[in-house]
Amino acid sequence: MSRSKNPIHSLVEILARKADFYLTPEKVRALIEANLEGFQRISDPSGYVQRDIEQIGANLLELGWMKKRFIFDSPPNHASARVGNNLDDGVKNLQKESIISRGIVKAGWWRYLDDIDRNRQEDRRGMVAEHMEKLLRHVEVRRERSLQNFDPVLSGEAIWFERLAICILFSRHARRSCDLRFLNTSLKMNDWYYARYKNRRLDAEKVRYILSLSEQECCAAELLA
Amino acid sequence: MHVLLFAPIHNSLYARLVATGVLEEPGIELCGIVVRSHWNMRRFRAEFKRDRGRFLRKILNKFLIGDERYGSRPRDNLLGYAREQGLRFTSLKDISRKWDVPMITVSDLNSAKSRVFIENANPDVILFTGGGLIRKEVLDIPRIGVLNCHSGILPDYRGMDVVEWTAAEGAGRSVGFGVTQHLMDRGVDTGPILQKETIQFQKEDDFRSLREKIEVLMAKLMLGGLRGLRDGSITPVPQRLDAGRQYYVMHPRMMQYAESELDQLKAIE
Repeated sequence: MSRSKNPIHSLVEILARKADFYLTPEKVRALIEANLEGFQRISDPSGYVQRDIEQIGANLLELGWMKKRFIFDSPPNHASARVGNNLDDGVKNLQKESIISRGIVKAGWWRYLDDIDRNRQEDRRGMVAEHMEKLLRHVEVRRERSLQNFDPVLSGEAIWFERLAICILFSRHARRSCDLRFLNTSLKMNDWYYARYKNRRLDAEKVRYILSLSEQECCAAELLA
Repeated sequence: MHVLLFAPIHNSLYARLVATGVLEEPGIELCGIVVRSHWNMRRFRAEFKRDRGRFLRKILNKFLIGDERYGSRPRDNLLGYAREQGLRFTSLKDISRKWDVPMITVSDLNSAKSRVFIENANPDVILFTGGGLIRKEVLDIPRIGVLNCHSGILPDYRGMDVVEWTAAEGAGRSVGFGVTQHLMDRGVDTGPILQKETIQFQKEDDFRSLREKIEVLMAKLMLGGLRGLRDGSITPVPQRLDAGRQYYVMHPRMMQYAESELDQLKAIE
């Protein structure tokens, strides 16, 4: 029986396509745009959520998916959302220890890598690359079971934020280093987390996921053009 | 020289070609065959979770369709090469019976049963044609080591989907599509290199046809490298670990990008 007429082949192909779920670019854009109106109504005294929303807005402006900035019903509280990252402390930490060891990720250290990477410090590029490579390998090997254990130990919601922060870091690092492998992994991570996104209760959790998608799309627009 | 073969399934065409090639080679004895059993629900679940649709297609091609998956397309594939070589055996079991080569089937190439079998066979070299990761305990058994043919050019492209990654990164001409034969170590495609060779690609090529050409080259290099070790004409050269990068399974969007880059590469040629 030829391959094209083989009913088993047809059945397997149908099942394979169903199993190969992924967020298409169209689906990602529809997901982001469906949430935009609601974002502007969010009241967030801490400022953190609105900071994420502002970043989403900046990303969408860059992509050309929005024509003007978000206007919040309640003005963002920038002062309380400012994170006091001490870059020197971050560098010292990263020089002393790995961001990940035996499957345990140092919580919050993604910020140090993001800062150093963003500031494009040439003398620290090798150090950043080494930590990023270890994180990449961990996520790719463990896949959906990656980024489960943190030091200090984190609770359910905090793990969600940390995972997405690392996913965002991967998208940004991909652009900064022109390394498609990191975009490849952030695409997979956002696919994995989509099912969980649908079950999220808090605005902050949903906003963070949408931010991750928007960072992914900015990266894809630049590297896959 | 005593050689043992690792195979992913009984009817692996690549494994059959390598096995019969070894059997016809003077000064080399095929002292054992270890085949990994696929009929293991835990393995099925783990591989499906990891590879999803790709795993289902692999099952279809390797178990249900077999050699016929190459269809009636000529020659630049393993089936065409097998016909050229006059391969008569449809399974490793047939080879084992005909040539009286000891053979076992195991759920894991690293299992105690496998290790005992290998130790008793006492091979100089193990030829790896598939079947999963090999652990240190097994890597250390053969005198020379475990030989693998990787479907990419090392050290540049280590890991998975390296044919597609070569295209995605625009390295189709600078690095090239091809095969690297190396000894396996605990790292991913980091062991000492025996030889490497690139393939020519044509305008009609897609990733499927490139992989089929690469499979033929793998069979040729596997035997060529073995002869080199037998004759002392090939000395494995260690890789610099910082000389390449590890690549992972491609996301569908990245795969689409790789296909467009391959099209661009062909347009230039």
